[in-house]
Amino acid sequence: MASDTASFNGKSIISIKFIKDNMLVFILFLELIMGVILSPVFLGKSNIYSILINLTIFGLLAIGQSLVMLVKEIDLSVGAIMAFGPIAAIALSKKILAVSGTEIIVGGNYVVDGLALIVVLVLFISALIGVLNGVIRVKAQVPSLIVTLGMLYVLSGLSYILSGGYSLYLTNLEGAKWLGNTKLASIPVNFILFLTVGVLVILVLKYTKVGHRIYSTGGNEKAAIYSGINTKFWKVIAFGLSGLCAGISALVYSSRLESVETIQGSGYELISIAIAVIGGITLEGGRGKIFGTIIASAILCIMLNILSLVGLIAWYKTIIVGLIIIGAASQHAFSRRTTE
Amino acid sequence: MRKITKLLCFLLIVMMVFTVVGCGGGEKEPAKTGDSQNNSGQPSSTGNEKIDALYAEVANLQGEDALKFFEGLKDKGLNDAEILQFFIDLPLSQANAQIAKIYKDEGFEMYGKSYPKGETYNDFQWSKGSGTKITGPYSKNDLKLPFTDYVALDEGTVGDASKKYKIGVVFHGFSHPWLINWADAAKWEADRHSNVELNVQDAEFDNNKWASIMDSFISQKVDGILVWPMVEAPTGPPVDRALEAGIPVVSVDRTSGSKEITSRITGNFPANGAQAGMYAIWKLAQEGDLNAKAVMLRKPLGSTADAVRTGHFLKVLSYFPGIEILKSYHDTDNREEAFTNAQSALQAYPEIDIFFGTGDHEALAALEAAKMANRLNSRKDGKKIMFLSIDDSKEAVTQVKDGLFEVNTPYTPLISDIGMRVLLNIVTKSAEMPQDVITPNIPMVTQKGDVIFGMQTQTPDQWYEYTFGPALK
Amino acid sequence: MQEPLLFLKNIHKQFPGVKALRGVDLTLEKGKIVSLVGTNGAGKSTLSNIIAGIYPPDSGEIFIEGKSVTISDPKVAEQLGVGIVHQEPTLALNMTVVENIFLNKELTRNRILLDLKKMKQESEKVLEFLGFQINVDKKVEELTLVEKEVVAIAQAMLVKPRILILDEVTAPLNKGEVDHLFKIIKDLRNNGMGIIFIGHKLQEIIEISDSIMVFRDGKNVGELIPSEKLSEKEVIALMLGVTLNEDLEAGEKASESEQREEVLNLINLSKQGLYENINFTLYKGEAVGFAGLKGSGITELFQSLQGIITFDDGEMYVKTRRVKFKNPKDGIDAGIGMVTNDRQKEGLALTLDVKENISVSSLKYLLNKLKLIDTKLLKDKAEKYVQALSIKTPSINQFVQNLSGGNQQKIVIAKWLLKNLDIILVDEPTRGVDVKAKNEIYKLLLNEKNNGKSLLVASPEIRELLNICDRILIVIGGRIVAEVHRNTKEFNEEDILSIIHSSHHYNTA
Repeated sequence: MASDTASFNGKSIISIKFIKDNMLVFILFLELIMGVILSPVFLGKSNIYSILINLTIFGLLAIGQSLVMLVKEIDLSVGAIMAFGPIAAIALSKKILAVSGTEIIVGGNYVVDGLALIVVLVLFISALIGVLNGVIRVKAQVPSLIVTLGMLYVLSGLSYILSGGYSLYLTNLEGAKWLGNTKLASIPVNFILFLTVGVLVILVLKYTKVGHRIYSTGGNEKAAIYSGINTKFWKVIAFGLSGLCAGISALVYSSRLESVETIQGSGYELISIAIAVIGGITLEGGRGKIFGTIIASAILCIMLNILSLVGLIAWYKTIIVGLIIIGAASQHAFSRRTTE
Repeated sequence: MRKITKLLCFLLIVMMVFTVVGCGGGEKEPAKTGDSQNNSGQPSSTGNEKIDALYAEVANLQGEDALKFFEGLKDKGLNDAEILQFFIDLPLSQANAQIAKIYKDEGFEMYGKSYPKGETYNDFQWSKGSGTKITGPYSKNDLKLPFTDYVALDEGTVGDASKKYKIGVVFHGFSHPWLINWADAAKWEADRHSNVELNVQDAEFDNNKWASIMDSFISQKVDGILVWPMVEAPTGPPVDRALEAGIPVVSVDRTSGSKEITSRITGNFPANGAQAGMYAIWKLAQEGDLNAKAVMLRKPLGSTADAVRTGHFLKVLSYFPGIEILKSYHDTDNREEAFTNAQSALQAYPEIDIFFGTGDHEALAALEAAKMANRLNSRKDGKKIMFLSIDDSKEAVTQVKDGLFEVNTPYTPLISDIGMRVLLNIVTKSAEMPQDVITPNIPMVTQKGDVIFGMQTQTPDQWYEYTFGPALK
Repeated sequence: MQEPLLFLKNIHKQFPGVKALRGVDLTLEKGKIVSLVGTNGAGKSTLSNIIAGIYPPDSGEIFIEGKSVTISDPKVAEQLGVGIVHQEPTLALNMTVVENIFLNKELTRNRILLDLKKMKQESEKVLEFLGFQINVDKKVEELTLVEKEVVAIAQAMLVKPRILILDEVTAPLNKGEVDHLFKIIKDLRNNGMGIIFIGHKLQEIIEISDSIMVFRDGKNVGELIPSEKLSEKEVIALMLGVTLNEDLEAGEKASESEQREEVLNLINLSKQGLYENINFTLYKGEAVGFAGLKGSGITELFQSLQGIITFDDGEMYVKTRRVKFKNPKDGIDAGIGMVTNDRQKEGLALTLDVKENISVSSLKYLLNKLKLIDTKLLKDKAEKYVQALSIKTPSINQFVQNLSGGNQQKIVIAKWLLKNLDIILVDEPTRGVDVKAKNEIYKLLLNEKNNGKSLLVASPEIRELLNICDRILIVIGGRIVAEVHRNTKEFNEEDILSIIHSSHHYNTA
């Protein structure tokens, strides 16, 4: 049928297609070569660790964002969740543990106890905020751009109220450093966590029904509904997962800087969208792969690292990042048009 | 699914209410930072016996008596610098119960104690007119660095002339007029030394990026790092990592959360607040009435600048029971917000004698609001409302010159050159540097360069060349 | 006696503003093919959607093999053995063939992991059974129209339904493919499946059905049993009811004007894939109708004439001046305006009020000396048209979205009347409008015609065209295949419909 017409020029078409399909990997590869040429310390151990932790923080957010974008929604609240999750979790832990007589905050803003409870609550609260985003989206029929924008403001306000604007120190909290600073077999644990999450999401999307639900919800909601799929449920799930990813990302962030502050993560929602877009996820929903998102996180973090190593002023950096976003999105759109 | 989500939402709301109510709207014990240091620095002990003796004398004075005492400081043999030091370290008085309570509730004691104080390096004294004129390498502004003679370092190579010294600088805000001048001064100093190679990075107000830049400096094995930390808590660990890697780190202006930092150059927040207080009392005395109502327009709650300045301001005022603080308003370093706050204050209080702003946004906003409300000369007998401003914008100094602001106490970004010299001294091991390098106090700016409680102040014209930012049109 | 496979009793369904079904009964026996025919909007698709669980009926009962059932969602329908191929494509274009076929019916191993291999095999098996070879790993968006339709059928076939609903499945298929499909359908029937077949091509329907249910205005008005003798005309007569040509009175007045001044002339106008070689001339004071099925290219032709899309080839003359519009403004400047068929999307700003909508494209006639909008004049004009068209609105300040469909349509028309255009293109002027408003709109259009305006009217309702037009052009597959004048004997609904519904015209297109 129609598909056979493309076979007239044998090999060259295959190789062009191969490059086109793996464009992101090639760009990543080029970047690595560029990094080695431009800076002697690029492949140094500590530089790689520095890249990997950023990759984890941004990559986790971007994976969550990608899931939301796959169901044709958008989540602007992920950055705010990164601050609100830990702040609310600590405030709540303080109340809960105060009942048993344990004071977890001393000296005004040093958190010294209750790590396990705090971690569990961070994940729970973050996921809950995501679910709330989703429920408002599907119940009130308000576009997610608006729901999550509102949530962004609400959460940052609440973060200020709960913390009074003060940073919290985790330097005296035993174990708080672990996630952000420990290595297993010289691989940072946070990166292992990121890879685990990434691989898990990829496998679940590919090998379980979840993937079909999410892709069909975003690709053609009507078709999904006609097949009896509860698309509202899957949208809520996607938002919940996005919140959860933001919560994990917040744990890594706070562990790395051994502190919690009200402004942490602000603006990261846009970075997460940018990464998802570079990775090939579209705003139209149902298109793109999480693998692309993971590679795109690496592309962005490595690019920022190289630019910082060569000492470029921030203005130029933002221009380059902007160009990468536009370039990548155009390339994806182009390659889709040409395959249709 | 519906049931579950409903339950979850309910739980979430309960949790939020619970925690919000529980935290009492953020009224929290004050931040206790750097608690291991400066515990010796009792506020009433300056190390200057002459001044310590005076504190014992002033302790039980209030109102007119206190005023008389202040007015007689010069006769007691204090020079200008000592007079300012007297007011900076002045203990809180219980004479004004309201002020004493605010001081205690907001934990100003703690902030005052933890802020580095003491003698300048080699007892350096700043004199008017000194310093160096430059063109900002980044901003292209015409600037005059006031402290180029402090921790002086000759032009030319430093340390081992055959060695390249790699210095990393991390701060936030190439887009911010105050901070870009901060970067200007650091770069200017580095550029004077041909074997210094500089890498200046902007973390764009993102502490995670700040940490990444620190880490990348560590992996580049730079010889030293100069930093402007936006906040304390998250900047501690990266600084500690650099120190662990054997790289000296020097902070300028704000302080990082690291207790081990090689050296820190701090500004003069205490002198800012204390001089605003001095001026207010002096002016009220000139007018012949020590009763006044003041509104404080303040920076974000919990910021060191706000707490230290307000604390030192209130300490001076605490000796005068006739002064009433009407209210404190906080903004998030945003002029629009400050303006709204000033408008609310003017609405709420028909009589306001003094607007104290902890930054120049606040004072400028108050002036605009008062003009708009037609309240500029609304005090008893048609006297003008007093505007006490801090910071160093050309706009604020111009307002002093035009007689619209009563006073401006400068706080300049042009101190990072000091930090660069301190760092180079450490890196090249050419001089032993203390952990705390104190910025010399700058006398306040008044319209006529008045003598206040025996201390000579500057005229706007004298200070104007040192102000930061682009020239006014 | 054996219970029928499917039995529907007195089904009612109302949508906002429309009574889609008004008491429908239907019986489907095992091993039978029942066809549903009727004009657009007669209620066929609504009924099939109810059986498939897309939405519930307002009242009425559904029995499957004698048991009363409630089909609350598509999954329930599937479990009851109902498979459906929808009229509109309901495939997720971003997903592969196999993913679409198994959408929400995925096979798993140990309930968690998908059994990708088995799904692939099964999909291939189903497609092979349907006689098509399609790479099941391809994304659906890469398929041809025919292949997509086949995937949709495969999707429905997968669960081996007892009841299969095929809603307009033959539209994109050619004769050979249709024959092949019919062979399969007949096989399925012979194996005991009950099939509901919905279509427009009467010849096909007669060929395949065991019985034909005729729908009109949300009711089934009769059942016909196909035989040698049953003609397409009989079916059409039943589809339309007996009251043919009832309100032609208005049309009689609309006789041809004697001065034959050309206002629009098209020569070999073509647009690839949409219409080709359109030739015709429109005279002053004349109304020309376009009849054809959905997708015949008429809407696109109209859009080209106004400049919303451009044509590829051919020539277009407006009053002997050769033109090629690049955008709608060009069209309006040349005196051509269009009353769109999707007034909510294209014709009206729903969030503005009545007067603003009426005046929006004629503001330049409503300026005062200072070149500012003369609000007084604007209000006067709006009032005038609201009265003239008897638009029911509490005031001219009412938001348009609060008005009924008929009144919205009148506002779109008023908008163009205010502009004083020479040629008005009208695409489905009475879609979703009640009978009374319909008549008013007809009068309005005829009045314009009698004032010397020229009209081009497209409508799926032939009666409407008969009412308004002087002649009717029949378009099939983007070509004008016939022209019927008012004074010829073919100028009636029956004959025109039989031209439209004769399948050989289709498949040559």
